Amino acid sequence: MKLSVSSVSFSYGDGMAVDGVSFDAENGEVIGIIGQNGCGKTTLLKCVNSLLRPVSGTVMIDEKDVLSMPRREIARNIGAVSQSTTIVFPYNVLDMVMMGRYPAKASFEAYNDNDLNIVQRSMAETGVEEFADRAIDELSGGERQRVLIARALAQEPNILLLDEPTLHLDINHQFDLMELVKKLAAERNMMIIVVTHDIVLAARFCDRLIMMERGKIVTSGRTEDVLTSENLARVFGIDARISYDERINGLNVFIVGKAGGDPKADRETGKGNGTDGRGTAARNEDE
Amino acid sequence: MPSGESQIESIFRRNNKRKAVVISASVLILFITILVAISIGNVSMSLGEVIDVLFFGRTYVDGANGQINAHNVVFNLRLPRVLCAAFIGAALAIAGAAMQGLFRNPMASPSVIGISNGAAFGACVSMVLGFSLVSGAFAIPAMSFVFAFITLFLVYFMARTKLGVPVTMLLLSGIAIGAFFSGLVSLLQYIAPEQQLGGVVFWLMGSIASCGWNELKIIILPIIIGSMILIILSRDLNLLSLGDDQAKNLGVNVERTRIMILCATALVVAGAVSVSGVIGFVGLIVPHIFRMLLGPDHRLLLPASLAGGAIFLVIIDTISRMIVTGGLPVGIITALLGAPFFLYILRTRKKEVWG
Repeated sequence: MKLSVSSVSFSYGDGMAVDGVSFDAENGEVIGIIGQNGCGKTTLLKCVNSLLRPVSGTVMIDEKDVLSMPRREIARNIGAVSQSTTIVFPYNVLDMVMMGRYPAKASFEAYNDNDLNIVQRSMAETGVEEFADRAIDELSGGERQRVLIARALAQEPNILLLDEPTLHLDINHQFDLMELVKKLAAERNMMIIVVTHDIVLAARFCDRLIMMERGKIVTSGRTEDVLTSENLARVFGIDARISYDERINGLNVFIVGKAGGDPKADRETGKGNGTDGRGTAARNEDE
Repeated sequence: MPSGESQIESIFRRNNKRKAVVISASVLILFITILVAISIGNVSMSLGEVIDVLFFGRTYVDGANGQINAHNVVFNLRLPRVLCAAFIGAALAIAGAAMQGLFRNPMASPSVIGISNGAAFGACVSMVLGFSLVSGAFAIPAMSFVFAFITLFLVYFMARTKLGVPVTMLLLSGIAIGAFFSGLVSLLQYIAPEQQLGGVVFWLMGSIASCGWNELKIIILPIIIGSMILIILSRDLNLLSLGDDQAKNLGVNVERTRIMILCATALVVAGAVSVSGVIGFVGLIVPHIFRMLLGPDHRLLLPASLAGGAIFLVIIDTISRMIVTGGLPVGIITALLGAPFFLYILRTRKKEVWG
């Protein structure tokens, strides 16, 4: 299974939200897309499973254009959990997860024991079995998020797209969720693409990172190559120290404060100019 | 819990069993309601007599003044009218349930996206201006069907944007186009000659007093076909009710499924409106009541609303026959009885279904 995104662009009408983005990804990888608000991360994710139709460029899964696939086929390949999910109808959790079996079924085919087994396994993996008989609106934000991931897993996709999965979670559940992501990539050999602006979690859990700014990829590659003080100062306007930490056997990010002036100079002196926010302010006006 | 079966399995089986029980129970209650409704009227009969006449070929029953031709009363007067009421109620309720799910909006009903008003306008054109595509008994229904679909496509076309057809746009353009058609209906009433005005006004109040076998023949096919399409698509409707993005993520062809649901709805609503005029409230409150009782799953909600709408309108029509000979327009009673009943349910149920 190989995903290749080549020169994808998308526009909502004024300016390019995603501008000529290309990247490849394979099974078993956790890929993070990071960048400031409004940089086009979510739009890019929506182009990958053709929720949005790119104005140019292609998204191919194993040499097959996603745009040429029927929705059911896309859903058998790609599971996705969107950022905000307002709940209008309080379906019960089991029904909700069972909806993940929809793309595997023909129009008149009923859900059978095999579907039930898959649903059960997905719920076990995300730890939501105990909620099976509860209405979705009775659950907390974190529990809900896990139910939606269970539903995406019930699709048995090769690719999982997660848009800000840790957004409404407390710190404890953020780690649980990212551990789960890591486990799914390792054990189920899934490709998982996570949009996040949590740099600390991205540093720990992503194999590769794509850093975006104003619709374009600034840099991408292995997490340790992308997460540098220079890049963080440039894209996020923060002054941060990245170091390998043997306690977590991974990268640790220490955020000093907002970056100011020349990020290189800060790094050389080893001292962040935390009080001067002008660099960031100018950037925000651009957005 | 039986051993060897996990908790999730037993929940799954219990829910399936519950669905079967609810649907069979509502069909049974509908059947009994129809029998009771047939037994009530100027000539009252016992349930046993009704069953004898209906199923065992009995012709005469004993009335206060000797033998009465019950066969005639049942088959020529009451049965067609009660069946019409059942079909119309079923159509309005299932259409309302489908619209509320599709639009993710508690206020949605067939009239809210203008279909009822469009159909009513078509019927009024035929009644007042005497214009129709076909002549004879099908003149009025033909025009309601045509205008129901014209309205639907107008609404859909108006709601279209570069990024698809957002639900809010559909709802808003539906309200606007519905208001436009309702204005045209008022205009037709204004210019209608005196002798036709009464008929139009009575028809607009929503009445099934004039319904017989001919009317039943007109509505039966569109309502059965439309309802079947909706029930077949109820699993898809569940996914659509989550919102367009989630439905697409899960593999639903959103645009195609939605247009199929809208067309099926237009079919059943046009069927109902074409013979009965605009009967309000049924499409709004019946689905709400069942959603509060049974939860939001459309695989259960649509069949239950179908039966429930039928039961509701048969009861209302029977009450209307008991109040006035020939029957008060049911539209008046659905509003007068339905609204307080709905408020009662709304206030006494603790669980909020609409966040």
